[in-house]
Amino acid sequence: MKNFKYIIAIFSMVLLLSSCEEVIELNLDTATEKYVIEANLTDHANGARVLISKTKSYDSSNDFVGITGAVVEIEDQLGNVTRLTESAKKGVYLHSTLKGTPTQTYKLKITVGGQTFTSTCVMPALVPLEDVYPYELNLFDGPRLFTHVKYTDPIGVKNFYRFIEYKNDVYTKSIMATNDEFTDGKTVNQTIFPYEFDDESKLKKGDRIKLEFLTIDEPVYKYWFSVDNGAQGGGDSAAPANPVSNIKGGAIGYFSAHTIQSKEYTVK
Amino acid sequence: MTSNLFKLLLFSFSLLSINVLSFFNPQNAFAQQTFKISGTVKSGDSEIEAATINIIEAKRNVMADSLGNYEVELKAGNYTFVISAVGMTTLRKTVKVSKNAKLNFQLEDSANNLDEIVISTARDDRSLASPQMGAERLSMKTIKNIPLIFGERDVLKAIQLLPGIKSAGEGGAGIYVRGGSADQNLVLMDDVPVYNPAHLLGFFSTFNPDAVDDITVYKTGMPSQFGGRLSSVLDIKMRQGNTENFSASGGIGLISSKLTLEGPIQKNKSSFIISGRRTYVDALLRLSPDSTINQNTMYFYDVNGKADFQLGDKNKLSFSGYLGSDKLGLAKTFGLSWGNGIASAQWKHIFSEKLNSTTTASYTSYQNKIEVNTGIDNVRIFSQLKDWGLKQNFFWQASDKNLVKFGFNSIYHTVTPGEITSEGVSSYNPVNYQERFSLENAVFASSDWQASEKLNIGFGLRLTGFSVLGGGDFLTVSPEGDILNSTYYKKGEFVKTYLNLEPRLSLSYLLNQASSLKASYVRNAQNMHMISNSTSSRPSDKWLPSSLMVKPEVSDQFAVGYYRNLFDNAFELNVESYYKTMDNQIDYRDGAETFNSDNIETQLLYGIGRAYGLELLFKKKKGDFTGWLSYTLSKTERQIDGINGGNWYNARQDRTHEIALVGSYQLNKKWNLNASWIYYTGDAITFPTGKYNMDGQTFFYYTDRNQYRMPSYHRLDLGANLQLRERKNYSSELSFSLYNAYGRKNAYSINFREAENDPSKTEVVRTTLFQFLPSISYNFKFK
Repeated sequence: MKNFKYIIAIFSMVLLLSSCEEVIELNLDTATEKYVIEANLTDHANGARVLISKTKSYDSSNDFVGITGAVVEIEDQLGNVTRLTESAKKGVYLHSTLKGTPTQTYKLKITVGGQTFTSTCVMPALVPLEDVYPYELNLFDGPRLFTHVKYTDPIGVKNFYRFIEYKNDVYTKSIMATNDEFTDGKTVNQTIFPYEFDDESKLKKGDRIKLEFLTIDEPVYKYWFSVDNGAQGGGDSAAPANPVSNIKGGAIGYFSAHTIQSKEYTVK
Repeated sequence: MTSNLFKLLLFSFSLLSINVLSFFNPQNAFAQQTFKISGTVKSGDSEIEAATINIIEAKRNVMADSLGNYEVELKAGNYTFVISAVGMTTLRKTVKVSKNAKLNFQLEDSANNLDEIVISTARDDRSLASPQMGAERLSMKTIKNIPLIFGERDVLKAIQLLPGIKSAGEGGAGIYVRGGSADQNLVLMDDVPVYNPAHLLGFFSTFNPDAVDDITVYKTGMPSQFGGRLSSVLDIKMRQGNTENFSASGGIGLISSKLTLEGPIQKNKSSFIISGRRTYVDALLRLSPDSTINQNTMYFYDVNGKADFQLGDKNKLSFSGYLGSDKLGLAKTFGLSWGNGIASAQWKHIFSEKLNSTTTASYTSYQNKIEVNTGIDNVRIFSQLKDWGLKQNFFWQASDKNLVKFGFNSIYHTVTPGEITSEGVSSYNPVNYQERFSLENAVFASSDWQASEKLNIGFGLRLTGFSVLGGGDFLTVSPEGDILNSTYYKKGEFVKTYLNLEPRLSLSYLLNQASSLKASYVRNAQNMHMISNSTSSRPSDKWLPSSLMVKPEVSDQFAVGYYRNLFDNAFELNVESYYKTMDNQIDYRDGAETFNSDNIETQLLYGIGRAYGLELLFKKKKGDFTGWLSYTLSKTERQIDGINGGNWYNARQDRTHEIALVGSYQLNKKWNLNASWIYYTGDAITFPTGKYNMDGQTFFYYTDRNQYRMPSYHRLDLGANLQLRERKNYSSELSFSLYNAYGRKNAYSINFREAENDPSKTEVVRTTLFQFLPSISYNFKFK
């Protein structure tokens, strides 16, 4: 029911037409540092990628500062342990051949700075991506093209999806995750909403759009769903909170074993 | 706590029995020869409920009944009658009693300065002597002399200027009373609950000011006939049509217009009133040449109607109805509409001089609808809450020192949490979440008893039973949010009944003619809970009845107060202090998914709350300049397992200081100038205490909930009313106002984002909603 949220957001914007925005200074405390883990494993080679960093004060730079020297291991259902190697970029741990198999369970273990973090994730079965296409909807700021994703949800099982959109090779930052609560067994045409409804996010002629379609498990869905609750810094949630993590040991972030498919189109 | 309550109950019962005994005491029945004085107490055409008549020489307090009737037996002699009611100017009359006689009293609103002179000798003994505390009544006349907001005289905004009542946000109609949340207010429109009292995401209330007569707010000491919400009762009475003449009145404002027609059906016996209002923000949008703007819809309307029939001396029938709806639409693609519908029939009957009754049958519903028509998907989502209710109140003048009220109240609730339907080929399956049925019953009794010349005692008891009914599946859920068990119950089967005994006790002690002390204790239980995850009032807010897991919310409030009239009643000073505890408070888990109603209980956390504070109200009631100063010092906290490590934390509405200064100056017969200034400590809020990189963007890191504060809020509003030339059949008035007159940039929201000119930096952005918002409206009346 993501749509509903957008409608409300749009109306709030209409009401805010008479409003004004101003950058202000705030004096906030900085919490003790925590490890931040972004761990992905896909059903393709080169898909194993783990990023490790730390939280920092809100007024410091937004650059990614990686943490080196971590031991990062992924274990499959048969007990085979693969260690990821640290890449040239600090804090980025990779493996060129490790790939997951749908329906299998994977375990992540990270040891860094004397702390150990673990997580378990199931790589869900693949759901074929049928089409990615632009479709015009008439919203409050007039007709606008939206990327739509077509797939047929398998009936009778719980499915969770994530969509990642790139415009001219740049990630649009729109975080979209859905489940099949209302769409079980249906052919779904999912609208991809932009991060912000501004002119810049409008799809224009000649734009190359790439869409990645992921099947994810429920805890990972929960993570992306709960990002909406303030992680991106906006919104009017009464109680902003950190996304619900599937990592044990007190780190921020997630471990996602997912299938991934992608399709591209050019706006005509 | 339990043993204290038990003692209190015993105490209440013993008092009740003493009164009943004294009523049957033959000495009372066959006293010396007395004369019967009876009559009515009214304000305009409307009877005043719970007016008191204090007969000074006889040292007697008599209460008028629900039709405004009173009766008292007195020996021959000269008496001073002091007639008073909350929010009304006290009337003092000298009466010579020598035979049975009828004597009617007409009370005026205390806001009505012009009539003040006539009755300036009055002493406001009533509000001092009555054990009722924490109550304030505002009439539309008072509200008229407060600056308008968006060109409307909104009752729910006017009461936010009183101590202990806080606005839920900029321009919003939502209110927090003494630390309670927005859903803990029982909002009654002619005795029928209104579930969503807000239009346009809270910027307007559902109450058309032209249809409202007055509002009484109970912050504590709610009389026992009220129940079902923890924090307050907002008892809003709608106007009764004029029984003598036809008239048409209305107003034209910048964003809304309204029209009211009223008149007799049968002269002096029956009347009707119908009042409609519609906003036209979208009409303005439509004027835009930009086709991207002019296709949107954004409006609300509401219609109020009421008919009153006086059937002889002993019966009165009233029918009233309300229908209101908000519609928001984005071109033809998305549509959102929600609204309340209310219908009621009320019968007031006088059984005897000592016993009369009010019976109300009612229907109230709140529904919302979402439509999505993208061409690929055409989907409708519908949800609804509806109540059928029956309320019976009896007023029994047990003795002339003791008025007993008793009765019952039954409500059958049906909650339809969500139905999804789609047309044609669609991505969506039809969904029907299980409807929830429940039966809420209450019996109550209360007594207002003049124990001695100085001591007045009000005590009441309310017993509520909330029965959760089948059919459907009922869950038990572990503290971690996992489903332990799910049991199916057949339709009509009793799943669980929650009983709550709610004692209410209040005392007043007159220190002298001009001052009194009061104390009260009240318990309230609430079985319909609203869960909201946003800061503004929204149609997505969800009402949930108590279930196996969701227990009734219960609050206990203790309050003490000191009341003093100064300078011959020209000024009034009230000081009240309260301590309130709240049990079974509900909150969402982090990352809760709230749409799925069948499993909603897996998404909830439960905890407790406490609130305490000190409230001061200093009023100037007489002269060309009137107004008040209110100050609240308060603390509101919650403790919920799973939030902030289970420690006490500030609730969002915890505002340490809150000040309201309201003034109205009658310059001459034509001009009234008014102003209000408010200040409050910023809301408790959660800000990030760090950030990190994730997903190629900046994410914010939060530690404790509500550990920061919004900047403090202050605002000055100015208003002026100009009475235009009056003709025989026509009068009109212009109202001007300026909202936020000195343009304070109050924070509506504070967001964190990547800086626009340097994405490697984070900037904090404050959004301000309204600065210098002028409005003008023209009001007219044809007689």
